[in-house]
Amino acid sequence: MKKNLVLVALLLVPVMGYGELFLEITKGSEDPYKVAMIPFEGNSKVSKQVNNIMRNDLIRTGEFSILDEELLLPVKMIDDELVFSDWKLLGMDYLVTGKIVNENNSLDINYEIYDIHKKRKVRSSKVFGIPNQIRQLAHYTSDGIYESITGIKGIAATRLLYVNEIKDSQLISRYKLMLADSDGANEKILLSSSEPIISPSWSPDGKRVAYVSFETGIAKVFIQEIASGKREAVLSKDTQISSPSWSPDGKYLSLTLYQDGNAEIYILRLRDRTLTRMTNQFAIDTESSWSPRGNKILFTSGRSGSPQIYELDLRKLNPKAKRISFEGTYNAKASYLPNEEGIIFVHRSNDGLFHIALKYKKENFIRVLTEAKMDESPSVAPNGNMVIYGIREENLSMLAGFSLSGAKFKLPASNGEVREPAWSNFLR
Amino acid sequence: MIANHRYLQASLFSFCIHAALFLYIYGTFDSNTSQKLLISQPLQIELRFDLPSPDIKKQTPTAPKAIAAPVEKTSQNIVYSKATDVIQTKQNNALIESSIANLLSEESEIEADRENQEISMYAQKIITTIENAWMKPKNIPKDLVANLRLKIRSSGRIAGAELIKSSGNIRFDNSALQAVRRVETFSFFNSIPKNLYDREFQIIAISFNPS
Amino acid sequence: MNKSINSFFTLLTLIIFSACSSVQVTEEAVADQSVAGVSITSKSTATQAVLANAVVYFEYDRFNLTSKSIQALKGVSELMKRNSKITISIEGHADERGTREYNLALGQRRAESVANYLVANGINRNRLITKSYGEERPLSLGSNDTAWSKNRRVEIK
Repeated sequence: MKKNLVLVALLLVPVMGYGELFLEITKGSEDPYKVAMIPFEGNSKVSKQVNNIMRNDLIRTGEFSILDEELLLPVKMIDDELVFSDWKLLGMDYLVTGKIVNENNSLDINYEIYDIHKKRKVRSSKVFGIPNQIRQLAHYTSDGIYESITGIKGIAATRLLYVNEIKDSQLISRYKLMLADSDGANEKILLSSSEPIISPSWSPDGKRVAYVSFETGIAKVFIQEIASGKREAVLSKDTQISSPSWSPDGKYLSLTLYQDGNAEIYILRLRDRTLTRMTNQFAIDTESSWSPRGNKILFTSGRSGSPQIYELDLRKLNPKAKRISFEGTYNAKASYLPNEEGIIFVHRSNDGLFHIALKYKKENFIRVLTEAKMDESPSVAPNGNMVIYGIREENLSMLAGFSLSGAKFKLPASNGEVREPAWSNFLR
Repeated sequence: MIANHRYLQASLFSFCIHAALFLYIYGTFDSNTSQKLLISQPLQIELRFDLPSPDIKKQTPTAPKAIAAPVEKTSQNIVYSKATDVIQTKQNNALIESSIANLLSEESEIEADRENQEISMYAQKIITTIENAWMKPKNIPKDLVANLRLKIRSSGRIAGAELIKSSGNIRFDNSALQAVRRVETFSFFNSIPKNLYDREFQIIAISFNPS
Repeated sequence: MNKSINSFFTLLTLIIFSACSSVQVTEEAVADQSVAGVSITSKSTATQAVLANAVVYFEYDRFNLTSKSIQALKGVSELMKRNSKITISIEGHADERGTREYNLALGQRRAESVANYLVANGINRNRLITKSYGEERPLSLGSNDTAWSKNRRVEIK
């Protein structure tokens, strides 16, 4: 009798061998979470702004479907308990409520998240604000809500760098290096110049930027402190330098130098400005970018006859560049996903159009993620869930973005054209 | 009347022979009533051919020999019949024992089937609950598999979730953990019988395998 | 939807920008068109004319000289041989397609191709300064083949 039971039990336990029940989940939902957000109470001027910022932050992630404000129902409470049935009828997954409170001369936000299916409150949080930083407060709150529901860190409180170009009536250009919130608002000018600025790059601590400026007549890399505006050329050498990229520990900058007349990759140790050469061959080597753990570098090389992506393992004594892109005749400007499980880059398809593509390490094919004609300069958000890039629409350059879950958004320039975006790290 | 006298003697003699034959056939000469079974036993043995007991099959060929012997000598008859009696008893007991064992195992198989059905039913409920809470990320590589081990209290509350096999993709792993967090409690666990819960549902492994 | 976002951001920017303390803005004037150590000699108008004519064009994705371009460079080569004091600046460009940094490197390769030709023709290398502007200084502003072909060039100054 016991024998038979054991036999049957073993049939139910194919692999585990522990005698554990082993169940397979094969289906899930790909729809966004349906969230109802009751406008947070508070001073009307402030609350309107905060509510708008939060709604936009969450919609832009592509993982939330926020109920239209007109369809919101009054929040019914019985004995301090929320009445869930109405929200369930509306098909909601979550309800978010909150208050903006004024304490000690600064604004704080208290918010609650209710899980409609489980019929209980799943989160109650307080976000502390800094005086005069209402936008930041709203972004922090959006991130808190996003993280509670999805388990992923939010990027609403991160920032963007990009280049703005405005042509005057004589078609003379003015270039500006801009800093803004992740939604493109709160713009600040870091540099204003009559000569081109390209390739802005964030330091990992978010306090400095590196960029290429043509102000001396040739391409040169500068490092600038955001708070003070202090800046310096990264090398006093006379050669053309471009394509700066910070190492994750902030101690090194990888660069492209044209010393021999040919673009080659070097690593600069910031402490003593010593240079180490990383490539040495006749073709173009440029667009270096570091892996999240700082042990590898991606770069674009023309050594196979056309621009392709290569990888260098810095831990090896004599690192040899390994080619990792094989589809198509133009693959460039690659950067790693934060978990190193894949890369995002610019890919030219067979019809000659440029798109942003994704290639997972474990797959041997690429996924084209955008559809316009001249998409360029992608930058990955620190949570690996969103990408911002440059797009051209009706002869005007602007920024566009997408989430890996399929949502898309655009960030047009408030004036002129914008391009070359760079997404900061988490700033908290 | 001298002819009738002879007729009577012949009739008596005939009667005695017939009676003896008759009595022999019906086993009055055997001291043991179990001899009667000699006639019916072959039938019984045949009936028991389809039972999965090797003992009976072995003994069937030898039994007729033992049965044949008692016809010649009564004393031997008794000895032999005793020997066969023992064999028969053993056979019978073995038959009875194995038939009981088989009945019992049949019953427990039915019982096990019923239990397995119950386990499957609750397992399916667990699967459906998790599937309803799982937000599968888009744009992920194919063939991703993430395995979690869950510790569940008898109330159904998920006391712990551990990622025992990562899919290699952080969004996928995270979505699996998040699905389990969203479920939080399996409300139907209260109806799982205690012995079943103790044995099968305290610790379970779940595999997120959309392909 | 775009329009309202656009105007919203403009409004927001104006409000916030005026309210917040701004980060120090750095203004940089254009420095002299000279690279330390070697200065480009000033040239007579006649010389300048010859150089202005010697624009070399390139095919898409390529930096090799065509026979047409070699023709254009013959004049430069002779000019430099005649006047041994002249140093020239060879500036490479690319059309807007592709990534900016790769185009910067491509422009440099194109400039180098021209420099190599002149060296092969007996001109001393240290009379030649090569630089690249990538796609940053297009001659023609369209997004079509004609505009693009005009921008894939090397100018000599």
